[in-house]
Amino acid sequence: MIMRRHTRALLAGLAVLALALAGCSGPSGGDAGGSRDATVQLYQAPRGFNPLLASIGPDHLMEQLHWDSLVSAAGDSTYGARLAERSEVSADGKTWTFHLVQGAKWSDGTPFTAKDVVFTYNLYANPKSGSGYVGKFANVNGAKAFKDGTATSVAGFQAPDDNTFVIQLDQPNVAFLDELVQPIMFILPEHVVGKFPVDGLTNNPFWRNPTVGLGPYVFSRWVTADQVEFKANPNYRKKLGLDRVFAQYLTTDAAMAQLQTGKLDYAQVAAPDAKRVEGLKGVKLQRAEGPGIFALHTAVDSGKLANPLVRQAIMYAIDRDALVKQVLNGEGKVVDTLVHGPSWAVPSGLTHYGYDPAKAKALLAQAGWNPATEVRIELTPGQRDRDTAATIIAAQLKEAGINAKVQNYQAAELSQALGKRDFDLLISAYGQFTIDPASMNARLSCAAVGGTNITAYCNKDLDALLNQGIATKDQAQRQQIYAQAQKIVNEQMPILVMYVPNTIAATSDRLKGFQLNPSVVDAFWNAADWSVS
Amino acid sequence: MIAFLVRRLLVSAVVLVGISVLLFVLLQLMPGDPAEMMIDPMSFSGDRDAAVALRRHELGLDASLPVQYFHWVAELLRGNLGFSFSSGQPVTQVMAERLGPTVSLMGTALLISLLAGIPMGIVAALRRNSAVDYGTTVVSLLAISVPSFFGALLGIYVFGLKLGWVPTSGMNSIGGGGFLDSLHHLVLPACILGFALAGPYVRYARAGMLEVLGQDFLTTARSKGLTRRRVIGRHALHNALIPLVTVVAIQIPTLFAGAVVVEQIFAWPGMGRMALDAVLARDYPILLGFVMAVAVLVLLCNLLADVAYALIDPRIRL
Amino acid sequence: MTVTDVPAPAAAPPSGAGHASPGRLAARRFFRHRLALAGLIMLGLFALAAIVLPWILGTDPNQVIPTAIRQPPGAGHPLGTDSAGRDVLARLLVGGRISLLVGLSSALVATLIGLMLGAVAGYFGGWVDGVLSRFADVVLAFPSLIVIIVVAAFVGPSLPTLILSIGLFGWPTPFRIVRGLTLSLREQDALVAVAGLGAGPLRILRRHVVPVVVAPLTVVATLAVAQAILLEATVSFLGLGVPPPTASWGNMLNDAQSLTILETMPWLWLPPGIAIALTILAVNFIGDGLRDAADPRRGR
Repeated sequence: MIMRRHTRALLAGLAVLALALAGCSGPSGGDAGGSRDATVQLYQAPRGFNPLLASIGPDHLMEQLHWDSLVSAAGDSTYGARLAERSEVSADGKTWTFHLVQGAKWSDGTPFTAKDVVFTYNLYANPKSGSGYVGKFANVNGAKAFKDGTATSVAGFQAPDDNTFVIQLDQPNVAFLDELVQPIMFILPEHVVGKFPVDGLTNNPFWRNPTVGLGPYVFSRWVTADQVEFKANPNYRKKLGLDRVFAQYLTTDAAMAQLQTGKLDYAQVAAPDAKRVEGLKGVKLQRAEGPGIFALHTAVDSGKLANPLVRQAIMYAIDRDALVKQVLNGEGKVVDTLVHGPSWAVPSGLTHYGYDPAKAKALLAQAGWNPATEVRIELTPGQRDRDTAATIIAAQLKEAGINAKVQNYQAAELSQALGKRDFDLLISAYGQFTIDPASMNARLSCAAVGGTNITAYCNKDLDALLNQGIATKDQAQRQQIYAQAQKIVNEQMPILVMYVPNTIAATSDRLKGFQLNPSVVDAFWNAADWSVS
Repeated sequence: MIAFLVRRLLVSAVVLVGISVLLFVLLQLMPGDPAEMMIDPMSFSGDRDAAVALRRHELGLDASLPVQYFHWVAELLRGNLGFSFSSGQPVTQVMAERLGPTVSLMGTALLISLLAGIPMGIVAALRRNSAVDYGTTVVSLLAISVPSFFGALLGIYVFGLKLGWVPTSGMNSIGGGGFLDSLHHLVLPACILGFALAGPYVRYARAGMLEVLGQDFLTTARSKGLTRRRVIGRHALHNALIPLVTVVAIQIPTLFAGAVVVEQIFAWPGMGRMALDAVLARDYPILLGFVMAVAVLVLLCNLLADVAYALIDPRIRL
Repeated sequence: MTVTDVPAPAAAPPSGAGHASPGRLAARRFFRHRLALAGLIMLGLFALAAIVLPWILGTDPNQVIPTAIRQPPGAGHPLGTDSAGRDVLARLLVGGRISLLVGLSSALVATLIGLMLGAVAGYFGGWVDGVLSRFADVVLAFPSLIVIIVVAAFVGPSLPTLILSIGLFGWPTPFRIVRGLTLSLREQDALVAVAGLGAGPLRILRRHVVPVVVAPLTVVATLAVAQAILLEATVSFLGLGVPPPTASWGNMLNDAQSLTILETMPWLWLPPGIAIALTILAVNFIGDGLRDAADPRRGR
């Protein structure tokens, strides 16, 4: 009797559980096999679709599906045409003209025009919008008046007609395009976002559930907190090969497992896993030399590592070849300057910092380095290859006579350390340094101190060259200018560059048209060309 | 009874206020500023200090601590736990999304642990000092001693990688696959968590059963000529198992601790992983919401255990 | 695992009571408990290995060899090397020290706090006892792992933080025992009488409470050691415990959270995992045996 009552209670419990399970069994009906759906990995949890924020990688990826921008970085590290079919700069380097695609429409059918671009760029130049890119437009005509509140918009952003967008600069910049490349500077719909108040725009729920898009696959719904469904944009300017794209946050391991089962069509692959993935059936591995760098950053203004001799010593003390070979399984390349492409921008005769502990010790002695000074190697833990690299770097610096230790920081603490200018050797991997050498301006120019120049390195000679570089249109002259600039960077090591990790992507055999972009955050740049077999 | 309930509920309310105040103070001491993190220094171009200040204002972090607290309480009373710093979603919505997966994982684990633990404990008690009893003791000690994360890694290695029986992570296949697919994903994590939980239940069930078996009324029942089977089935089990209800009730909150670990390893999109992510990302509103939810659960389960105990055992009066 | 704070009742106590003194009876029962003895031997060996072997081997657990990363077990590295080229055996042994250190010191902290508060609650009774008992109930029911993770995030992960936070949330179990025994002493009027003779509370605690509670407290403290070792490993595994490069079994396993390592490099995760499980098992065996020994009524 009693037992029976217990049994019944258990059965009831089971039934409830079954219901709960059925309730959370996720997206039903999407069978990945025969349909025109594709599933792609996001390597971190996505947050939303607000391109105004200086946001995180997975959001960049989702934004590439949903939004569109003027120019992208193409697969071969050149500028790729997007909404701007062509762009040109005037002879004086001050007027940039963008010729926009004809007949493009937002997903709700509203025509896309140059007015949308002007509207959006005004938002990017407006700190009240929460924009993370105000600093990029300091040189645009009228930006200062706009910022001071004496003008209601930036005079230098103009739309002479519906298909032309013009930017007027105060100072010449022939490399201005480099500032606008995807995955940032996506264009927003004026007829929707223009209705929102600019104050508190960041908190608008629209960014989580955008109703209108311009990219090939527009947001449809959040299936779970980790998965987003995109639908083919009915008004896209090209015929699309897919009906739906599912973007799913998966850890590297989960992604590898799902690749194996054929449920996943794209995943980013970590260097240590490349060999394993290469052996999987039905999976294709693609790799390219990345555009970014893995580097150590020091607050030059804090004074601890302000002496270039010490920085050179650190370079010699680290066996970077071994790091690439052992930690990255050879999936990377050792470089000696920040900008490592295109080839014309990398001069010959740069110093190569090979592993040489004796030289490191000599340089430290010459610099009068105090071996008791503690040097922290700061990083956000969680990425295995980086964690390992940090451990090895710390050990090797110790051997060279630098009292180094690894300091794990969570993201919030790291940002705070940056804000307080209190960091010794902060590990970060980032950037796009292969299209135009002017990409180093954001990291090394005096004007960017307090912003993207996080080391606060400011060198008058280098600065003059960098300014000259963007003011000069002649290619031969630019080559000469940047050869000098690169020599300074190579010698001074304001950012201690370690290596360039390869970008490795795995795609399923059924996904066609995927073209690897060396930049990880640009992986979805040609989603419009995707299809499944 | 009613007076007891009222008193306990009042005490619980005071405890909740205490915990929330404590948490609020501690959160402010936490190193790292969420606003700073949102304005990523590596990619932000412009006046970062102003942008951080603006963000802090938007998040309400620039107000004084008491103001922040009372604002939070006022919103809480309206059913609003604030907005996640990292996704901007309402905390209630985030927690609701994560509740389902967590409940299905913890519920199944609890069920497994009871179904495995209690019969084992009973059998061990009935065959006291036999090989079965000693074996049960060792198994239950193993369950308590093997860390669930190591158990999970072993399970993934054996059943996921070597035998290929179960998926190594996630709650369902991408694109879904219905109920059976979910069950397939659930088996391993639920068993790992269930095994860990079963240890104590074995021992409680055994001890409870032994206690009852030694009591006088069973002897009386036996002397009345009832068979051993009937005595055990009708009288002993009832009296031995009912106290377990209270033990289970008190243990429920600790399931969350196990869930943090197991969800992390199996990439299970539940509340445990949410909490860990929130700790790492300094997502105060989520963290506050989670800890408060656990606190409410703890107090509720405690109360439930007391009430259940009183209802079951007439000797106890509340 | 699952961090269970509620102490489980005794396991199989072998019966058999002779006409010996209670002390000898307890000792016999304890040693009869073969599991406890096995646990004691195991733990002794582990402790010996952790303390002595690093000196004998002379391998630096933090020495990085970038050219010998993830080497399988072999000459020079009996358990292979980890992802930074460090000797796994050396790290395993040093990690054992950390585990024992955290286990013993947090159990000590928890027991001392429990002893103090329990004596206070039992001695004063009334509302003091009410408040403290209520508080203990809540702390006991609160999943300590979650609290410790949150605390680790507040103050930053470090060894002292870990020991203190584990200790600070482990006091309710000893508290309950001490409180109960003190309370019963009080009811026997023994304390009242002594207090009437002018003995201070501290003296009463030392002379009358401690001797009574020492046996049951030892049991609880032993189980608390197992609990603390488990918690340390778990928190370190989640990356919020013992900060690198210091080796701990938990953070060694943290490294194995990748399928590639799990599948192809068992020497990186099996040894620390087995070490944790066996150590905790050994301590639990001992605790179990002690419990039987300390509580003759269980022999029923």
